[in-house]
Amino acid sequence: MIKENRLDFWWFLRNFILIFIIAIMLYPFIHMLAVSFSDTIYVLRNEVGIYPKGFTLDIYKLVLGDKRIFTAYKNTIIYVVLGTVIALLVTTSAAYALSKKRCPFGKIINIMILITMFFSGGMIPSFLAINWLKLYDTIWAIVLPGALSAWNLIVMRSFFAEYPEEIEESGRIDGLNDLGILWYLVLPTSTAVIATIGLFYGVAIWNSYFTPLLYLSQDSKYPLQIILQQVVMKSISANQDVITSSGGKVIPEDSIKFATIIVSIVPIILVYPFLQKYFVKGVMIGSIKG
Amino acid sequence: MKFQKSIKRLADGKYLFMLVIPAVICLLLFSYLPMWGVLIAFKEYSPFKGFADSPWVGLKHFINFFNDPFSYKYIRNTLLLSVYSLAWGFPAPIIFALMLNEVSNVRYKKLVQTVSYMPHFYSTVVVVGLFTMFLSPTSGEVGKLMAMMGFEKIYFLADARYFRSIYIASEIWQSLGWGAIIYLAALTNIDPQLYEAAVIDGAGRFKRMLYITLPCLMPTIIVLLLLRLGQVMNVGFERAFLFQTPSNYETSQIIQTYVYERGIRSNNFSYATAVGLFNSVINLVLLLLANTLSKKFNQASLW
Amino acid sequence: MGKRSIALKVISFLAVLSIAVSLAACGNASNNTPAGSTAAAPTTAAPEATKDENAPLFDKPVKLSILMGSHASWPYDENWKVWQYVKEATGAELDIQAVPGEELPTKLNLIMASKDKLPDIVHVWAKTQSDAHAMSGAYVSILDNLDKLPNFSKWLDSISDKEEILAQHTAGDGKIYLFPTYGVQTINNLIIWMDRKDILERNNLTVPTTYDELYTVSKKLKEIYPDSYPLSFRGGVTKFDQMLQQWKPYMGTGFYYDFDNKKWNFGGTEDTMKEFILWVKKAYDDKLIPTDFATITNQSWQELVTTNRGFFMPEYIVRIDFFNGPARTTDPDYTWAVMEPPKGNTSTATNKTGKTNLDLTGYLVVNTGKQESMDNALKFVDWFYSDKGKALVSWGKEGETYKVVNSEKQFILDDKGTPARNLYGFGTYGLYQVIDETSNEALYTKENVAEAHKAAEFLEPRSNPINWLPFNESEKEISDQKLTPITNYVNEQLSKFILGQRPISEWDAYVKEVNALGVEELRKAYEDAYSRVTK
Repeated sequence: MIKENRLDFWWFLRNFILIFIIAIMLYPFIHMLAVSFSDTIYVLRNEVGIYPKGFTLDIYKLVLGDKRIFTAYKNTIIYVVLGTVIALLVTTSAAYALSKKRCPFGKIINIMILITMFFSGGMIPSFLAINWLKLYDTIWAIVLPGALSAWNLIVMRSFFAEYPEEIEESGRIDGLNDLGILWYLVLPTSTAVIATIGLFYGVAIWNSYFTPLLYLSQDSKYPLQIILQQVVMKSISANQDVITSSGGKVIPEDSIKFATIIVSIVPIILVYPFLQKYFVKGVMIGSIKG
Repeated sequence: MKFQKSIKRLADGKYLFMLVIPAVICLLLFSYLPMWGVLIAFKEYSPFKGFADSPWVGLKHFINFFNDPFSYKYIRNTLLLSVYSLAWGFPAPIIFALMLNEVSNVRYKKLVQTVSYMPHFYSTVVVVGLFTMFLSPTSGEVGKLMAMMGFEKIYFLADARYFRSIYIASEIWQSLGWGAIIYLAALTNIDPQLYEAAVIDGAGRFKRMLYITLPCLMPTIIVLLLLRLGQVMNVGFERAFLFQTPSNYETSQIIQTYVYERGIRSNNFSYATAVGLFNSVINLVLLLLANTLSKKFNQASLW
Repeated sequence: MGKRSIALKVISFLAVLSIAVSLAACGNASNNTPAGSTAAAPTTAAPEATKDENAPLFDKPVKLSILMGSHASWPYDENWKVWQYVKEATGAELDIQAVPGEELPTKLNLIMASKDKLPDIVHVWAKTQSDAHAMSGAYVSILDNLDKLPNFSKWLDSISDKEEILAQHTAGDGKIYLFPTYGVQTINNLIIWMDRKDILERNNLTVPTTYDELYTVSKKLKEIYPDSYPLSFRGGVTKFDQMLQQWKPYMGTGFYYDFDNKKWNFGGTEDTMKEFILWVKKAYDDKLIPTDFATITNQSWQELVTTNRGFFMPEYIVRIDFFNGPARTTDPDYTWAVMEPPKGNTSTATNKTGKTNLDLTGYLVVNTGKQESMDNALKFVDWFYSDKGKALVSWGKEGETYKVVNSEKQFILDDKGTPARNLYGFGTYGLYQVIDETSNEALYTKENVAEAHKAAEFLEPRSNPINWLPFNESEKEISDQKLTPITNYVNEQLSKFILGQRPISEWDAYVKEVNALGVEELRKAYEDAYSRVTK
C-alpha cells in the first residue's frame, strides 16, 4: 500500500477529521468511565467530567457483586466461541459454494436465502419451531438459529465471487478438488473476510439479549446481557418506586448504566487487537503469481 | 438428455453441494419451519387458541392500518428517515475507511479504529441519553456554546424540524467505525502491485483512488447498498421512540413506533404482523427494482 | 423364546422396583411431619401459632408449576424462608420459573402458544397482563368455582369494598380470572406534591395552597435564584395527569370518570384544560418550568434538583429519601417534604391528588385441561386467603423472621442492613395475595411510612377506572383503532400550545380536530363498558 506522507492540504484535512473523530468518540467513553467510578452526589449534580470525583468502587461492586455475573460471563464466552465457530463453518462453506455458478441448485438456494431476508415467521412461530425441535432451554437454541445470517452470507459470497480465478485454476491443475481448493488455497488467503464475518457473528452473540431470553428458562444459563439488564433495572426501579436493595443506598441510573457498558465492552476491546493482524493479510499476500 | 446433463452437473459439483447442505438445513429448520407465521397477518391470532383455532379475518388489519387518519404520515416519515439515513449514513463509513487507509502509522491507525467502533457497543438507550443531554437547552454543551457565541438557545428535541438530523447524526456516530470494518477488509484485498504500477505511471493520490481503489471496492459497495435498500422500511424502532417527544411527532412518528404503541395497549399480534408484512413487501419490491437496475449497469447484483 | 423370557424378567424387575420405590416414598411422606410444627418457635402467645390445623394443605405431595415475573430489586430466590414456609404449610412441590418482570408479557405469549409448557399457575404484575389471554379461555373463572375456594369466599364476604374489588378485577367477558391482592399499603407508586421546605423557610415564604399562589411564589424564587426552575417538572405532558386532579376531581388529559356527575369525560378538550394550559404556558414563558421539561433526562433533572435549582414538584414519594439522603452530606438542611396539593384556578378545584397506587398483581389459575392439577392449583391459591396463609406470608415465624418488641412486630435483620424483602422474600411477587398492612409498612423506612401517611389524606377516595376497565371485543376494536391517534394528537397539540408553536387562539379549532378523530365514539365505549361492570 503506497502511502504518501506529504504534508499537504489533504494531509491536514484528513488528520483534522480523524482527530476530530477520535475526540467525539473517546470523550463520551472517558466520561462514562469517570462517572462509573464517582460517588453518588457528584453524579447527581452532574459534576463529573473526564475524571472521577469521590472515587468509589461501589458501582462496580454492585454490578460485579451480583452472584449471577460470573456464570453469565462464562456462559456468554461459551456461546460466543461455539456459536462463531459453527456459524463460520456453515456460512463460509455455503458462501464459497454459492459463489460458483456451477453449484447444483445454486439459483434456487440463493432465492431461498433472499426470501428469508424479507419474510420471517415472527417470534411465536420461531419459538414453537425451537420447541418442536426439542431445543428449548439448551445451548443449541442460542447457537444454531443464528448460524446462518442471510446478510453475512451474501456479503461473504460476493467476496468469494471476486476471488481471482487463476489461483483456483492453478489448484485444479495441481489435482485438488473443490474442497481442497477451498481449504488449502482460498481460506488461508481470505482471512480478512473470514475474520470480519466471524467478528460480526461473535459480537452479535455477545450482545444478544432477546433470543436467550425467549429460549432459555434457567437463570444458570443466562448470558451476560440479561444479567446486566437486570442490574440496570434495579436502579431504574429505585428511581421510580422503591429504595434500591443495596441497603438503602441511592445509586444513580447513569452510574449503573455506564458501568454495565464498561463491563460489557472491555473484553471486546481486549480481544480485537488480536484480530487486527488477520485484517492485514489479504488475498494478494502469499499468493502465487504467474 | 437434459436429465443426463443434470446428473453430470450434480456429479461435477458434488463437493460444492456438500458444502452448501448445512446452510440449507439451517434455513429449512429455523427460517422455513416457522414461516407459516406470516399468515398470522390474515387472522385474529390468539396464542392460547393457537393458529388453527384463531379465526381468519382476511385483509382486516391492513384496512385498519390505512384507515388510521395518520397512516400516510407514518409511511412518509418512515421512508424519509430511511432515505436520509441512507444518503448520509451509507457513504460515511466508506469515506472514513478510505481516510484510515491512507494512514501509515500503525499505532495511530489502530487507535482511531478501536476508538471509532466503541460506540457500536453502547446501548441505544445510552446513546440517545447522551445526545439528549448534549442538546438540552438547560444544561447541554451545545446550548452553552451557542449562548457563548451570542445565539438564542434552541430546544432541538421539541422541534420537529431537527428530529431527522439528530436521529441520523446519532446513528452515524454510533455506526461509523463498525461500518468501516467491512470496507477495510475489502481494501486489504486490492493488489498492491496495481498501486505500484500506477505510481510508476505517474498517477497521483486522487487518480489512484479514482481508478484503482474505488473500482476495486465497487462490488462490495454495491452489494452492501443493495442489502441496505432491502431494509428500507425496517427503520429501527428504538432510536426513533427514544428521540420522540409529542412536539416532534410530525416527523418522528414512524410506522414502528405507532405499531409499538398500539401493541402496548392491546397485545394485538396479528396487527403488528400485518404491518410488518406490508413493510416487507415494499422492501422486496424496492430491492427487485434496484437489483435489476444494477444488473443493467453491469454491476454486482444479489442474484 | 429367549426374547420373551428376558422381557418378562425386565418387566417383573421394574414392577418390583416401582413398588419398592413407592413404599419408600410413602414411608418418607408419613415420616415427614410438617417441619413447621416441630421446629416451631419458642412458646409465645402469638395467635397464629395456636392453629390446631398443622397438617399441610395437601395430604400427598402435589406438584405445581408457577410462572412469575421477578422484580429486579429483589430477584426471585428459591431459598427464601417464606417460600419454605409456603411449601411446608401446603405440602406442595413448586416448580417456579421466574423471568425478569418486564419480559413477562413476552414470555406469557410464548408459553400460551406452546401448549406443552403451560404452567399450572401464573402470577402477573398488571391487569393488562392477565387481560391479554383471559378472553381466549386461558384461565379458570373464579366466580364459577367458588365452591372450590372456601377461604377466598369467606374473605371476599368479609371486606367492605367487595363490589369495587370485584369490578376492578373483571375481564372483558364479564368474568373474573385474576385473584385480587389486598392489604398492600402501597407506598410505592404513590405520587404526591412535594416542596423544598428549607428553601421556603429560609426565604420566609409561605407554602402555596393554590396554583396562583404557586405561580407567585415561584416567580419570587426565580428572582432570588435566577438559575433555577422552581417548578422542576419532567416527563412533559404525562406530568399533567398528576396536576389536573387539582383543577377538577379525577380529571386527566385523556378519558376519566367523573364520579360526582357520574359520566365519562375526555379531559383533553374541556374548558378546564384550556385554563390549565394557560397557566402552564405562563409559567413556562416566565422560565419557571425547565425549557426541556418534556425531554429532560433523569440525569439532568436530578442535577437540577440536587443543585438547589428546583423547589416544587409532584413526584414519587420515594424521591424524598432519594434526594434528601445524599444531598444532606454536604447540606444538612436540604429537605424535601410532602406538600398539600395546591388548588387549581377553577370552581371545581380541590386539594386532592389521584390514587396512582393500585395494586393489580395476583395469581391466575391456568386452564390446562387437567382437572386434578387445576383443582390443586385453586386449592393452593385459596390457601393464601386463609388466616394461616396470610399470617405466614406477612410476618413468618416468630423467632425466625420476626420478633416482638414493645408489643410491636419487627423483622429480624442481619448486620449488613439487608432489607427484609431480600432476606426472606416478604412482599415479593407471588408471596402475597392478602397480607397484614403493618408487615408491608415494616418493609420501608420509618420516615417513608410517615410521609406516606401524611400524603394519604390528600388522595382521592376512588381511583380512575381507566386503570382497570375491561373491554369486550367490540369495544376493544374501537379502542384499538382510536385511542392511540387521539392520545398522540392531544399530547402533540398541547405541547405545541405550551411551547408557543401554536397560538392559543386556535384552541377551538384544536377541539374540533380532536373530536373529528372519534372521541365521542370512544367515550361511548367507555360508558358502555363501565355500566356493564358496575351493574
